[in-house]
Amino acid sequence: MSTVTFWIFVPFGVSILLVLFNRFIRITRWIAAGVTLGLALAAAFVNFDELVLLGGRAYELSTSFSVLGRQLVLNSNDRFFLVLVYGLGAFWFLGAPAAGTHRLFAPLGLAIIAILVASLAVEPFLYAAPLVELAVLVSIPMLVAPGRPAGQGVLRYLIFMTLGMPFILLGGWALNAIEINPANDTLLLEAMLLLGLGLAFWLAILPFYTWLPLLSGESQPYNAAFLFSLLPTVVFFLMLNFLDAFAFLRNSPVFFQGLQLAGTIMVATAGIWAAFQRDLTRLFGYAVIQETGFALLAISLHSETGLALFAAGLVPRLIGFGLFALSLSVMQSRNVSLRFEDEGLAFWQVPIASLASLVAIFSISGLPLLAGFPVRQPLLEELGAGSIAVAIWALIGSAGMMYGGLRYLSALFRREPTTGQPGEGWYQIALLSAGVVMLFVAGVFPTPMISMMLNVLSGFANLF
Amino acid sequence: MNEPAWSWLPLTLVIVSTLTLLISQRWRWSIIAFAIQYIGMFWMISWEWPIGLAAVKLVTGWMAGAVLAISQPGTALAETGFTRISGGGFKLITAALTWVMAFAIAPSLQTLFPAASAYLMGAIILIGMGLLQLGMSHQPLRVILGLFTVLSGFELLYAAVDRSVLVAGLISGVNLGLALVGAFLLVNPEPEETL
Repeated sequence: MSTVTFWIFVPFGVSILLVLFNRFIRITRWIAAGVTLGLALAAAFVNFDELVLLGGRAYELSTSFSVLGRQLVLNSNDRFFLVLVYGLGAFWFLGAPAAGTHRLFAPLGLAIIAILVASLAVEPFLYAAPLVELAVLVSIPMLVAPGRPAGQGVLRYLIFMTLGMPFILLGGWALNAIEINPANDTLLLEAMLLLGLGLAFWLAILPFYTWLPLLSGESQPYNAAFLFSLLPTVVFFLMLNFLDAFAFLRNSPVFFQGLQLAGTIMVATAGIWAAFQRDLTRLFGYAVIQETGFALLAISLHSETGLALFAAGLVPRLIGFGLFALSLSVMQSRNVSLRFEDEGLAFWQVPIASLASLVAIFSISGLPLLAGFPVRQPLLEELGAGSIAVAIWALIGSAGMMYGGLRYLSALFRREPTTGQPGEGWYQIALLSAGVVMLFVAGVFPTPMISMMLNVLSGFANLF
Repeated sequence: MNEPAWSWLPLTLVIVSTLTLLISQRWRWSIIAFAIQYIGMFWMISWEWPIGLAAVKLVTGWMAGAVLAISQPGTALAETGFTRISGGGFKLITAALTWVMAFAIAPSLQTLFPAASAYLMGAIILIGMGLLQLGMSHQPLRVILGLFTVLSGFELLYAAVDRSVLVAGLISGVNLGLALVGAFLLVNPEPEETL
């Protein structure tokens, strides 16, 4: 038995079966949720280095699998990452019935998770680029609902993500060439440029983020948010892999200055655009851009604290996106307009979804008592210690997002109250309420969440 | 590096096919040009790789072309933003600029990629023409063909520095996946139903 079989081939095989039976939409959603939850729990409780007792017999788990002369490796260091990724999958699939996702969401979502785990397991990890591209290709039918034409956001997403692959592969080649010839400064610069461009395409870093607000507006928000939370998480871990493996990269001040500049511009511009936004789906797109910007800023600190803040930010980001996207999907499923001018009516039709989206916006903007604050506050403090200008711009970005939230709040209460039953179903109410409670609990008691998330960094022995 | 014999011929195939892909409004011509583009690319890669491995690129490209051909509706290439003559003229001028750029920078790229000048010109022309196609069109078929053209150029560059069978296989998988995505975007399947 191999860990690779359990955490890559089994979910991928199940996803193929679910694609074949995709018309049984309720069953496929629950199977996908069950498989991801089971794999997350197994990764949490099974020790890869010891014998596994099953039905009274002991089995040894091998941690590698050979393919065409290369290795797929999932060892003990990857356990918390597996918990994170499969837990993230379970989180999204459990919410799928409430969001009313289309029939390809769960089967393709499971396939995407398996492929992305393979991209992090492959050694040498430079081969991850085509696997990430395969995951992007699989995601297209998930973003374009059956029977609908593809919009500009989807096409731009496909273009930018596909353009990222060649840059990463060529950057990987340049990195290997540097190991043979470390004195070649030109090659070093080229490697950083190629990798930087590849990561910029994949993480939707300025100026390649124009597809994000478009995509969140034209695809079902829940499907788009699944990708917005999963893809950047995996690409950030790939980036940390690069930094962990190549000393000259992690010792290069230019690389981290570039990250900081890109992160600052993303946070500031997304906040400023969000402040003037009148459409909730586009506001969601800008929230995603801002979160990516803050993650870049945390890594750009080039310190253990920065890395810890990056890891700690993953959970508030996941819950915030999930709650925001679920609220938007619930509103859409009730034919409620997502434009601010119609929100007064929306509040009286779907009050819980409206309030949940508001709480999500405020958490993403770093309001105290919500999950985003315990990560955002020390991050701004650390940024300010290094460069006060960067901290001020980051603060402006956060304030812009918060202003967008306040404008939404004002739009919600523009109409006179009317009486009536909430439009949401009981499962939707339960999930939305749970999301709001989780954001408050993680905001008031952040320590357990932060200490748990630090475990995902255990695989990066050389970093900082 | 010495130029292989007849090196201008695959380069001409690449130039003509990419120009046809950029200008043509008829899907049959586009698919034929797409197939010819892969012949040119295969020819060039065979200078760097064994014929057997290089043939993988040709077979993959033709399979992708076949998938796109059987799934396209008749209007898949129709442009709305350009008139036929002015649009064609504009595209021809931008294509000419791309060729000039390729001829200008290919020799300097030889310091990075150990390949013949015609080989690098072919790669740059493919990347440049593919990016033009991506920048000028909103039609899914044109976007997919543009992505294939860019990826072909990159594959040429990468083949000059790496001969990994796994990467060749994975990139072929990506190409076939891209063709299937293109087919999905073109076919526009039946409306949603739940059981």
